[in-house]
Amino acid sequence: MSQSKLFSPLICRYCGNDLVGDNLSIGFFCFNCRKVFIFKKELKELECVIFKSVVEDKKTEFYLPFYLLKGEFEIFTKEEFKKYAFKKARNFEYVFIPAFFFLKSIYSENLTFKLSLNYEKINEDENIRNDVVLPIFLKPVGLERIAIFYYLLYLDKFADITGVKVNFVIRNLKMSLIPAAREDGVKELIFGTKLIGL
Amino acid sequence: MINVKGLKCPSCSSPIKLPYTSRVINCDYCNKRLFFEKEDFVLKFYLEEKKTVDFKDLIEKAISQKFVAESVKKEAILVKRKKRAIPFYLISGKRGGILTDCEEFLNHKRKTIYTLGQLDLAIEPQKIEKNFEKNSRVILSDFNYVYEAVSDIMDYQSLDRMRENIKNRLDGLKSLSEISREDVEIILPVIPIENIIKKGVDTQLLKGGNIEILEINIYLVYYPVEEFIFFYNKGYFKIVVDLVEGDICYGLIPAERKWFTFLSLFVSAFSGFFIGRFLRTVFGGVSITDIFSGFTIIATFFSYALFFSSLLFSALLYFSFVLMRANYAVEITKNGSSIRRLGDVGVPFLKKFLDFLLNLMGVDKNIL
Repeated sequence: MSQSKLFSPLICRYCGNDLVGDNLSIGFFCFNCRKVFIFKKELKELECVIFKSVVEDKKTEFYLPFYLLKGEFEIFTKEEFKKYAFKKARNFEYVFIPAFFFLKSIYSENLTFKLSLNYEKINEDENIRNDVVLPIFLKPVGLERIAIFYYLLYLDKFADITGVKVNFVIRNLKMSLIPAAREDGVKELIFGTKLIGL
Repeated sequence: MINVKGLKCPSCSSPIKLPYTSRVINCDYCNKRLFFEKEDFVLKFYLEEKKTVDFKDLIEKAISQKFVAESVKKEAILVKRKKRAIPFYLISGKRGGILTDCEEFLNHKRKTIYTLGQLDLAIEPQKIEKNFEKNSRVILSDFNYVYEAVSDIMDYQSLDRMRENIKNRLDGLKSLSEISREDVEIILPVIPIENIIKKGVDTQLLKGGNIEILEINIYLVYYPVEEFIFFYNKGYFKIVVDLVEGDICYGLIPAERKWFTFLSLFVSAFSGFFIGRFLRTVFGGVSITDIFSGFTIIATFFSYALFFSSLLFSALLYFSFVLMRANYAVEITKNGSSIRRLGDVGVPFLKKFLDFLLNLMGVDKNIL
C-alpha cells in the first residue's frame, strides 16, 4: 500500500461536510447526504436509511447500525412436505444484519427477525439528525452467508432444515440506523424491544 | 512495511505520526480528521478502572497474611509504585452452522477448588454447560474470546480471572487513546497474533457440527493493574492490585522463617528418636558375641538392618537440612494465599516432599 493511500480525510466526497463516526469505527456517516462511507480495502459508499422512532416519550440517544440487504432467497429441497411447510413462511425480502458486536447475538437476532418480518410497518425518518451512532465493526463481507443462516434459522421453525439448500443474491445493500435509548438498560425505539448486553 | 518517518497528511502534506490506538487521527497542522486504512491495524482498548480503590487497606491485608514474616509490616519500604496495562487479545466474530444433534457446548468453565502452591493439581473437572437447542439446529451467534498477549507475567489463576473480567465487561471498554501514556506503562504484546487467530478459530471449530467462521476480528484489550514494589531485608517483593475489581491479584511476600526452622528441628528429632527406637528393638536381645559366634544368616540380617536404618536416618537429616535452607514466600493470588518455595532445592525427589509439607501447613482460600 503506498503512503498516499494510507490515510483518507474524513470528509464527504459530495458535500464536503465532516463525516460523523467513532474513532474505532470502520464506517462514517454524512447525515447531510444520507450516506455512509465504509473503509475496507477500497472505499465503499452506501446509502443510509434512518428509521423513525415510534415509541413515544423516549429521547433518541443513539442509533444501532445494521446492514440492510434486499434480495431474493431461493430454497432447494427434494422433500415435498418441506416445500409445502416452507410455503407457510413469510417472504423475507429484507434482512437486517448487525454491524456492531457489543450487543449479544441473541438480542440482535431477535431484533433482526422483528425488523425483517415487519419491514412494511417501519417508516423512514425525514428529519436530518446528528445523533450518536454505535461504531461499525462488521465489514460488509460475507453478508450473503450470514443472511442465509438467518433465513435458515427462520425456516427451521416450519420444518427440519437438514438437507435444505438456500441461495441468496443481494440486489441492494444499504446501511440502516435503528433508534435506541438508554433508559433502564437499552431499548430499541421502533418495536420497544429491550436489549441487554450493551 | 510502512516507512514511519515519511508519513504525510493527504490534505496539507505535513508529517504525521503513525496511529497507535485508533484508526482515526487528527493532523496537527491542518486539524483534519484522517482515517488510517491499513488492513492489519489492531484497535486497542483499555478496560475501565474501578473508581475508588483503598490501596492502604489492601496492602495491609496482604502483609497480615498467615506465615508472612512479622517484620515485613515494620521494615518493608515502598520503593516504587507503577500503574501498568497488561495486554490481552480479544477475538470477536460471528459463527454459523447447522448442528448434527440439538446440543451445543457453550462454555467450558474451569473452577479451581484450592491452590496448592506450585503443585496446583486440585482442579475441578471441567464443567460443561449445555445449551439445548430445542427448536432449531441452526447456529448463528457472536463469539468473544480472550487470550493473554504476554507470558510469564502473572500466575495462571489471576490471568484466568482477568480474562473472565474482560469478557463480562465489554461495555466498559474505552479507547486506549484516552489514557495518558505518562501515567500508565503499556506492556507490549509478545505472543504473535497469528497464533492467537489460529487458536481462536480452532476452538470455535472444535465445538461440533459444521460450524464455520463468518467473521473474525482481533482487538487488543489492556487490563489495568498497579504494582507496589517493596524493599525488605536486602531484597525486593511485589504486590499487584487489580484496578478493575479493586482487590489484590498477585503478591509474593517473604515468609516467616521460624516456622521452617521449627519444622526442620522436629523432623530431625523425630527421625533420630524413631530410628533409635527401631534399632534398640532389633538389637535389644542380641550381643556382639552372638553375632560373631557363627550364626552367619543372623549376622547378615542385622548388618543390613543397621545399614538401611543409617541410610534412612541420613536421608531424613538431609531433608530437614533442605527444609531449613530453602527460601519461602507467601504467594497471594485471586484464589487465596499459599506458601511457595523459591528456587531449586538441588535434589529433585525432595521437591515433592517439600511441596507436600508446605501444602499441609496452610492454605487460605478467602483472604480478601
